[in-house]
Amino acid sequence: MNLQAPQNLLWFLPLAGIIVLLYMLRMRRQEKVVPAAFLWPKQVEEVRANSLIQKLKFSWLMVLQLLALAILVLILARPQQEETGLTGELTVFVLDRSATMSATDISPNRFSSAKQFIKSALQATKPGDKTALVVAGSETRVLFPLGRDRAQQERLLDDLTPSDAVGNVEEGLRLAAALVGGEDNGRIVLVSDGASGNIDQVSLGKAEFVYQMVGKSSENLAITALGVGEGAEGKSAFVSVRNEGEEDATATLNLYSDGRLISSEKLTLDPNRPFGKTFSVPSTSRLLRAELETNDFLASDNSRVALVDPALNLRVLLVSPGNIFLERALALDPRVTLDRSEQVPQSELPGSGTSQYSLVVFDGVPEVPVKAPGVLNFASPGETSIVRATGQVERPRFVSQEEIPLFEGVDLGNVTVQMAQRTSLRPGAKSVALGSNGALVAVKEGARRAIYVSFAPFSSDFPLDASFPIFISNSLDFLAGAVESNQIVTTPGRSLALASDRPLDLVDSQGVSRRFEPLAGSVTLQGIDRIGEYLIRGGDQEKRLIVTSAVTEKGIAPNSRLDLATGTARAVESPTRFTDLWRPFIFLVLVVLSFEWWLFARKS
Amino acid sequence: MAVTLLGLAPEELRVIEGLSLQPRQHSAGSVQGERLTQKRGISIDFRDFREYSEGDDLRHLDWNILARHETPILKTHRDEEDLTLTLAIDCSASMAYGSPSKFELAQRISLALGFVALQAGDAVSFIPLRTERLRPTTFRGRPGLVRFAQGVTQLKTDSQSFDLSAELKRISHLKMKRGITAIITDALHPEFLVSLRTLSRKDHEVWVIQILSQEELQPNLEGDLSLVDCETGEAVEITINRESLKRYQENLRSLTDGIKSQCLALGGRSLTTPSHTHLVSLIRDTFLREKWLA
Repeated sequence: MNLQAPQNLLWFLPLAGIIVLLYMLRMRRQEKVVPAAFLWPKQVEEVRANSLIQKLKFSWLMVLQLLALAILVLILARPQQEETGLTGELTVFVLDRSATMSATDISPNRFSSAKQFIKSALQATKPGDKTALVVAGSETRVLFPLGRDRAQQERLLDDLTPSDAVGNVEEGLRLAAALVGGEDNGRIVLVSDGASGNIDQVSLGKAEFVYQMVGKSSENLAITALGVGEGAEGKSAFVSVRNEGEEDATATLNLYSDGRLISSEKLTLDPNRPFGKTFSVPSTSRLLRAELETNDFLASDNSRVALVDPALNLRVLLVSPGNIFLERALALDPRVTLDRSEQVPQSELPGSGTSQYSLVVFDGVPEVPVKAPGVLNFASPGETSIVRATGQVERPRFVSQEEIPLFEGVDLGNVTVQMAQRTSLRPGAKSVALGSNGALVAVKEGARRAIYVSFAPFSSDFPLDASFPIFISNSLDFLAGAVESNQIVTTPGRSLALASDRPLDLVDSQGVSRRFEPLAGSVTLQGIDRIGEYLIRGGDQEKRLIVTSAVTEKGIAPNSRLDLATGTARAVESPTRFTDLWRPFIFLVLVVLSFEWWLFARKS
Repeated sequence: MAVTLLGLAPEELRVIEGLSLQPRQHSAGSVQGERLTQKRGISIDFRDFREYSEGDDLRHLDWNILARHETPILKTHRDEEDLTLTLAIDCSASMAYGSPSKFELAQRISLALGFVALQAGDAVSFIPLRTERLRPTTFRGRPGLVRFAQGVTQLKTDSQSFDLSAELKRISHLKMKRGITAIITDALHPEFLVSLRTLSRKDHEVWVIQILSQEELQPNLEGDLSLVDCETGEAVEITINRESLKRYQENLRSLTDGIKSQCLALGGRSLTTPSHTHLVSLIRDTFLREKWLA
């Protein structure tokens, strides 16, 4: 037992002093004339005092009152008892749903064990305890809020499935802290393997943090990279494999081109040395798949898929001081791998070598010459821009837009622009949307393609319009060559935006179908967090969606120490909780006071 | 309740009409009376002379002596001896307690016993126990009834403190005629039992009629009190609780039991009655049933 507010024990001294003083006061007795006083015994019990001080006499009543006071003061000091258990009075579980939680180093796997941990903890909660569960996967959500409906909570927990997506434990802890961080008796229990790294940017407020680690082994092989490049001898694929364990491991690496095995190699992998090799790829190849045959603990990172056509895999550099709308719209496109910078890296400036980016987006940073074949510019003119800015126009009037693929699903007539640049076209550029300021949107085709939008997203309500991500997607199509494909490769947990006026059905390899409704000419596919092949069906069109692993985590090695903003948290062997002990003490006070009253009544 | 000249209600008088005192042992009177003695004898047998006292039957007056010496002397005969009832009424301040007061019942009992004695031809000697230390007044015959009644009803309780025990000892030293000494008191004096023994005389039967108020029998007190004796002024600091009440009852019971056993030892009688007892009930249920009167 410990005391949460031991300073309150000091109250005993003045209060006990008052009680003792009352017993030291001399009693003033009421006089009563009786016929015969000699029959009455001289029996004095001074139980009330209201007069002058006298010598303190022993009294059981005083002892009992002091005892009751001592217990009450002890209650004020908030005694607590340590008990074994994961939960407290207000507990938020944060369940790590990242890909590494599917590792089978503990039976049946880490995720199931974590669920079982939480389920046992829920069953061991006390009737007054409130619990909530935050799932920290590719998206963070509250599976059930703070409550006491254990049956419902266990049912929701049972229905929870693992994910192959990268988890965001930090965001889960942040959400948990929002739930109980302000409570004195709050407790956050993270059930995780700790593989996602440190979480030192999270403040948990006043909540107590308990880290329950799952997993015990780091033995795992992973395909960390599969890329396609074009060299002098044609297309080639680069495969990288990493041994995340501590001992040498063997595996067979198979490489498939459109389903046909084109290479197989037996590997012996050193834990400290990543394996990397380049393979020749047939010129007709469209889809590459690398697979590892091994008996490691995590299967999801043993295969990886890549599209051979670079147009279907766009690496985009956003040069901007920060524009959340643009970042989201770009990230929505399944082809995009996005990097953001406030200035163009030196390696992307014209010079020797080729660009590693398919296109560069300028927003709020003046355009400079780049090696990338495509440029999308939002009101950030430079020397190499396809338009020349000659001034500014407030609230330009929309005049017209051409019916081209770039504006498919986009109507700029509905966009309100607060401020736009007055522009004049440079040679090779053409206006595709016209306003009272000149070209609202201009494009340039050729080997190097460019799109210039003469107003910044923040100077209009365009980013708030549903057509904005469609415009971005259309722009990517234009700048990447507008290659149509019926194959999409993405990673788990990412959302996909597809242009469609009809509902789309997502069918997994088991034949289970999910329907997604269109909104403003676009369908957003969400919650695809398992690796595998899917079919997207809508009307008479059908696309193949391949979800491949995204190994960005630091292996599956469980981490027993987590660095928090407030210090390092260690995984607990036997989690304990402190429970307030006031109930038995209140009962004890009542017993003492009852006994004191009985004694008083008996004496009086 | 209507009260007659004799201080008692008509219904009370009806109950005691024709009754006589029934001592447990024979006591011979000193004067001629109407009470038949247990002894055999002839009614004309001369026994003794004695001075005339008010109320005596003039037929027994010795006219010769009166003529010679001008002193009224009565002749008494052995078979017609009388009984003297000495009534000692406690007039201490404690007798004023109760509702009705103990003294009120004491007066009525005195009147009743005196009426019974006088109407039966016995003498009544009346001694108020109070500070003034009065000498006994003797009444005889029916003519003495009214004066006896007046004397009793005019009595008041004493406001000053006096020693009841000392009064009893004084009585024991008085030259009294043989008969019954009835002490009507609450007996609330620590030395009462001791002084009661001093009344032990061969020719006297002691009757003690103890009257206690309801407050004394069942005290309705609680808490921390300073109990002040109404007579002595002595104060006792006390916490009234179950224990002290129990000890009070024990002390009271010890006193009443002591009176009872003392009276039995002296060949007398005793009773303890609450002050609210109805006189008629007391006469019927105690005096008649236990043959104090017949």
